[in-house]
Amino acid sequence: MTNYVQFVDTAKSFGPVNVVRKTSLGLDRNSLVVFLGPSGCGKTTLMRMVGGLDEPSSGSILLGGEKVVRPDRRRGMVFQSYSSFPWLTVEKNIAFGMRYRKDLDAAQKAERIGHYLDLFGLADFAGSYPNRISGGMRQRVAIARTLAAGSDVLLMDEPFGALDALTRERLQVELRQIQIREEKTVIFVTHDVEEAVFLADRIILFSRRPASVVADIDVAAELGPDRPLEIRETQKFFELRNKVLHLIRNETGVVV
Amino acid sequence: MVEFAVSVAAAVLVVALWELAARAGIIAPQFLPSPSRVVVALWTMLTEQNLIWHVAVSTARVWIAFLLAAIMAIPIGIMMSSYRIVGAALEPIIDFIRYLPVPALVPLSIIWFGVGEETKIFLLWLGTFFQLVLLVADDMRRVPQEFVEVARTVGANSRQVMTDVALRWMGPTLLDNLRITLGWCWTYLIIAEIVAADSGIGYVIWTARRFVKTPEVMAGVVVIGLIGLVTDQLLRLLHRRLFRYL
Amino acid sequence: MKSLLASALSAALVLASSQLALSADQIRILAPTWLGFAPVHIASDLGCFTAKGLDVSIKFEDDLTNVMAAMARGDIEMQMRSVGEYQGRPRDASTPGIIIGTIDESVGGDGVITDDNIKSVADLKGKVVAAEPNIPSRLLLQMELKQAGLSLKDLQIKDIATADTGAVFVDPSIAAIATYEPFMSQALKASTRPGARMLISSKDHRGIIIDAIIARNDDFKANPDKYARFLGCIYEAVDFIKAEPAKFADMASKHFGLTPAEVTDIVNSSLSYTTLAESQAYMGKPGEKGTLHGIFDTVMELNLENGAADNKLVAADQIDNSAINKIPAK
Ligand SMILES: Nc1ncnc2c1ncn2[C@@H]1O[C@H](COP(=O)(O)OP(=O)(O)O)[C@@H](O)[C@H]1O
Ligand SMILES: [Mg+2]
Repeated sequence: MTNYVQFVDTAKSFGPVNVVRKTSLGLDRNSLVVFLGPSGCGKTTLMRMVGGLDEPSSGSILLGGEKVVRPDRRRGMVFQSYSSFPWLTVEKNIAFGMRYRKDLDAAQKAERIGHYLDLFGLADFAGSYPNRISGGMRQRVAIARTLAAGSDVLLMDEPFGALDALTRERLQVELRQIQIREEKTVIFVTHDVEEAVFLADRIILFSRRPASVVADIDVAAELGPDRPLEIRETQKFFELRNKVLHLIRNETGVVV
Repeated sequence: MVEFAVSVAAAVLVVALWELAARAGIIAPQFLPSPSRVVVALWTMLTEQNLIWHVAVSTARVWIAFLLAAIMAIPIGIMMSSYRIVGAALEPIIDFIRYLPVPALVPLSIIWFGVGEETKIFLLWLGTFFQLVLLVADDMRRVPQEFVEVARTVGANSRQVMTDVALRWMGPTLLDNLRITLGWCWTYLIIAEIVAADSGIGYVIWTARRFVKTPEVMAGVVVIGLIGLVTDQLLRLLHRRLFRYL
Repeated sequence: MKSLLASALSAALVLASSQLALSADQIRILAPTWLGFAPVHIASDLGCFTAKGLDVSIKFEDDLTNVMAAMARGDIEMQMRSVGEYQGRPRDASTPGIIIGTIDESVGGDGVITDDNIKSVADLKGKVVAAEPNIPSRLLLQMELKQAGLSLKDLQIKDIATADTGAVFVDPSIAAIATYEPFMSQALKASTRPGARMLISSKDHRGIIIDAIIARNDDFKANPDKYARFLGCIYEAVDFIKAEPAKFADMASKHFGLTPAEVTDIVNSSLSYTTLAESQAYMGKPGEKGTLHGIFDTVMELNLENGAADNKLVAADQIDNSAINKIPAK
């Protein structure tokens, strides 16, 4: 489905500060879209508006043709830090996603928890508290929780920003696989060009504040849907990466 | 274990130095009685002056005042952080009252509450509530926005955000702050218990002071110290039990 | 909220809350923490109050302002204080309180201590003297200064808390301290100053420092008989104290956290309980003035002069000898 998430003349100011310039944009269902742009340009703000956590100053955002007014579990957030609740075990953190769901009974919830524990390789840590597991594990818990909640759209704000390079690679691969397998729509915010090219079906490049779209790159057309790690060493990947870097330099005026 | 041994050794050393200083007569015994005299005084107070009863009365007063303060401060502190209007209305007033010297308010509290238990509880409450409410408000402000937003996106309403996220996140610091303010509450005991006094360890200390029974004064002070030490350790234990995830 | 608190408290503390059951025969007293008021405890222990249908309770309160607040609020029916302190700020003619009897007088319990450097009161001129505001020995000092042609203004007065007498006396820059027992003798005992001694003692000024029994005017007017019964018990207790000093020391020790020996020691060195006859002489016959009226005026003048009091009170309005004259002499 095209235009599953739709920005319609969306703009946002905080008081006198214009953060997002009037933007119109449609995102496909079951695709992974990366919002790329310099720090402080307004990416988080854009994403929060999709989540219903911030209200556009003008224009609107539609999800499946329906206007977004408040947060609900169809759109789940994954943050860089404070992503999992420290007072809950891994299992309970995942269960928290379904805590307020009345449509599932206990058995169904337990089954879903089991499913996501396995899917993310967390089964051995089910009873552990977040501070006893690695940062990568914690981000897996956060993603699992949003999926357990039944979110259709994952809003991920630099979720791997604080991880070491190796863990980060692994999680990128996993995210990509899971996004395809679970058929989710992902909006992924980052300012890391490599990460953007590796993950994205499509990259939307934003200008400095106030954010406006300066480039729209169809990565899927170049790299296809499958993203094994080795793809990073291919000529195509390099070219694409360089192209994005150039765009950033020329279009946003930022030295990367 | 090593730490425990060091703690005990340090305490023993302090007491030994104290005994030595007192025996050597460096300071007149009217001002600093030896620890052994204090222990003897403590024993007489226990056996002949109903010390246990006075301790029980004081403990009850402190806990009633403290719990009243906590019951009021927690919701009010949370409201102050959650609703800007409430914060704007209360914060300056509380900040002002917080600095008022409690002893200066004694006659006023007698006019309001009489010379019965209410005044004593009120004075103890006064020393605790205003400190605690600001601490709670600060804790509430520190709840990471991310947690609140995650909860809202999985369908929590405001009340659920409060109970399932904010309070859970605040739990450890809240208990710490309660532990600290409970200590403050004890320090107001003398002020509260010399008002129309007839019971409590503050009263015992004050009477002993009136008759220059310094060993008894010291013994009373030591008892408060011991109660503080024990309470503190118990609350720390509770902290470890409740917040294993830390 | 308040009554809820009160009931929660009485449940928790198992303290008989006398405040809730206010009866006509109730007398609630606030007095400073001092043995001078022990006749109340003794009368109570002897069962006199119960026998005369009185419900008497006494609590200690050293702070005069707090006592005034409690009486103004109607929380207590009676206070006990030295006449000099009683007159102190912020009392004026309309402040509740009427003297209906005396309980004890200071005999050595108040005084001024000094050392070798000061031979007489006149030597204090220009020196630093420490004293708590509005305490009896300040009046004694003032009286003797007057006789020597000086006033408090000729001294440098430093305010202290009397409980700190001993520590303050260590400071050589302090020439003298106006204080009271037992801080006074403790300070002298601990001091290494040459010639540390009492310069002025209440022993030499009998009658000036006298502790009065003070009732709340409205209740006194409404129940005069209650107070006559109360006073009867007090003087019975004083007679008992004089007759059975050992038994008294034993009984009083429990109420003050002292040993019997300490009680005897303090009482003998500092005070004398006033008997019915003595008190009646102070208070005067019905319709007449007693010696207390004169003392009241003398002390009033001193208080106005040293600034402890703002308003000149009239002895006749502040002293009522009707109740004490209803007690049948033995
Ligand atoms: N609640 C807010 N109030 C005022 N200014 C804000 C608020 N949130 C974000 N901003 C400002 O908006 C701009 C964009 O922020 P953000 O969307 O977080 O950028 P990015 O995620 O691209 O780094 C920043 O300059 C930031 O200071
Ligand atoms: Mg951001």
